[in-house]
Amino acid sequence: MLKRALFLLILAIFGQAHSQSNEENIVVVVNQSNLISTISKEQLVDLFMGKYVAFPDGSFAVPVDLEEPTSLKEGFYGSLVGLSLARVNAYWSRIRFTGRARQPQTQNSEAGIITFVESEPQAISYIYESSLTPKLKVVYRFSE
Amino acid sequence: MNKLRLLSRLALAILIAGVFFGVVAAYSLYKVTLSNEFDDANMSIEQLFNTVSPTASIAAYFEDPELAKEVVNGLETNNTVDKAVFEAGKLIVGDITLTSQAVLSFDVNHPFMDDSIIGKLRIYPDLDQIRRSAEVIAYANALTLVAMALVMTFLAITICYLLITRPMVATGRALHHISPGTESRLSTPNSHQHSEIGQLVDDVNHLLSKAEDQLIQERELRNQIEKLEQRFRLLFENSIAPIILLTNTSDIVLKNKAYDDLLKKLNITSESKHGPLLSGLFVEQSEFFRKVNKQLELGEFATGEYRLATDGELLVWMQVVVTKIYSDDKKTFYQLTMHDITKRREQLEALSIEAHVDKLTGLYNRAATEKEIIQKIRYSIPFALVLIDLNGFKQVNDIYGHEAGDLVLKYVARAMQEVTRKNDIASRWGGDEFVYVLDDINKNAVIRVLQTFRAKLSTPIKLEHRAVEVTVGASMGVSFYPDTSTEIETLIRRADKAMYRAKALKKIEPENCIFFAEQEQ
Repeated sequence: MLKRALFLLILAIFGQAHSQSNEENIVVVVNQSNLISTISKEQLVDLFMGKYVAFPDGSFAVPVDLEEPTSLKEGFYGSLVGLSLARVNAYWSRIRFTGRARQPQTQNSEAGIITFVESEPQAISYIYESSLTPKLKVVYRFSE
Repeated sequence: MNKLRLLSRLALAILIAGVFFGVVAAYSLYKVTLSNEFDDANMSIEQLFNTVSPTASIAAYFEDPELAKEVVNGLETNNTVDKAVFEAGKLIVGDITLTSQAVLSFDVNHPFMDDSIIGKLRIYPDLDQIRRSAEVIAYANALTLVAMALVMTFLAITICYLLITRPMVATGRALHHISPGTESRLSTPNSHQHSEIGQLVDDVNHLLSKAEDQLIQERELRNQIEKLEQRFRLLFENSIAPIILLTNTSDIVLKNKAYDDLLKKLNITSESKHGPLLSGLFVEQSEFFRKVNKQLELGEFATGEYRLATDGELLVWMQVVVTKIYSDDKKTFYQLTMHDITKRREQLEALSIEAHVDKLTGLYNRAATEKEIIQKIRYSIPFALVLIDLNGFKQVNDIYGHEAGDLVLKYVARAMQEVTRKNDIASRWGGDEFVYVLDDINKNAVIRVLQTFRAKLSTPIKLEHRAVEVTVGASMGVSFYPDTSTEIETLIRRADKAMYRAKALKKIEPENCIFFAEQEQ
């Protein structure tokens, strides 16, 4: 237990150093038909870190994550919770056995995310702002 | 005994001090240790919390009892932790009712937002365990201290014993057995030549030397005094003169053997009191006392010749010297010294009688009579001087010889003595001249005495070897002191003149044979 805690601590320190490299703005998007128009950072953290799988209005939410570690994913988690991807993975492996947290679904690419969110009204995910389509609605913007 | 007392006292004092400081030090050390242990425990608990805080954050974030339990149990396995209580929203793991002042409360942060507190972790340190470990350390410290105190005490006692107590006690014992005045001295303990003990020994030895010197001096002085005393005693006891020392109340302080012998000789018990200044020993008690006191008033000593009061015929004269002496403490004493002068006095008296008495008649001679007259004049005692010249004596002498003349003179002398009273003096002036010194200044009284004498004289004198009787007459001239004169020569001359006037009438008026001196023109 003690060793594990120490390991986590070391990971946290190392992860901090790798997370600042996003030139493009990342935005959080939902289907154009989704009723919500904006979401808070806290709600966003709860959705993506597995605490809740519902929007603030109570409707069921499907958070979508990138399968592979890309600079988009790295930028997202760095901005959202200030963690490296390695630490995010460690977090998930750490809490998965509790059975309480549900990890987001995954897509292989940004394009896959866009396609999934355009077709799924309950979905919520993140893309570069430059990749925005008319079928998507921005509900949160990471202001640098 | 002494040694033990001094040493044990010292040991006890050092031991008490050692134990006292040991206890105080051990107690403060225990306190410090306890406080250190608490600090250490707090520190390690803080470290523990830091270790579990990520897990605790996640547990709080999800309000997950399993994870929370894992945190709490993990904490509780540490032996510095007694209990842990986890609280996050509605989730509570552990006994929330625990109350303890020693609780350490930590905030559990949001795993992703550091400024957001989402739970609390309370950790109760295992006080008993901390105290126990503090006690173990303190006990070890105390043991070390006690051991050190014991060693130091033992060392202090040993050093004190070797450095101070032993030499002191040895010196004290040696001193105890030394009697002052002897040659024995204390020896300085080893390696104490320059210490206070050495100084003490030197001083004591110095005192001992002084005491010895003093004792020797005193002894010598005593010997000298004893010798002197022996000599004095020899002088005093062997003196043939009685010597007596009296207090001013006439109690006998000192007397010698001669005095006791004297009393024995006089048949007086020495116990009896003899009055002031022993005056009771003398015939003329009051006179003795008066004279001695008078002389003592004038000077330091009185001297006189006094007859001792004896019960029988024994005649003892003493020359007595009374000396007033003062002792050093201003007390007055009287020293009486007596010299037996009986023999000398008897001789003198005999001589005196020879010198003063006319051998033939036994009357005073002229010189003695003149002395008596001078004496009376000196004391202004009035008297009558009567010059008597025999009539018809020459014829008796011429006719019947000297022996007959002597017989007549003796006869006249007897007649004179028969008439004299106590204080009258009858004397032979020389040849057939006689003198009366009478106590009267009254003419009639004088006449009465002289007539009686003349009557006796008128009886015829029987010259036995011649078988004849003769008769002598007398012409008498009288002068008075002080009426006639105050000078002896004048008195005699005037009496002589008066006597010749009577002589002129011896044939014509033999009855008118007494003539008085006339007043000087």
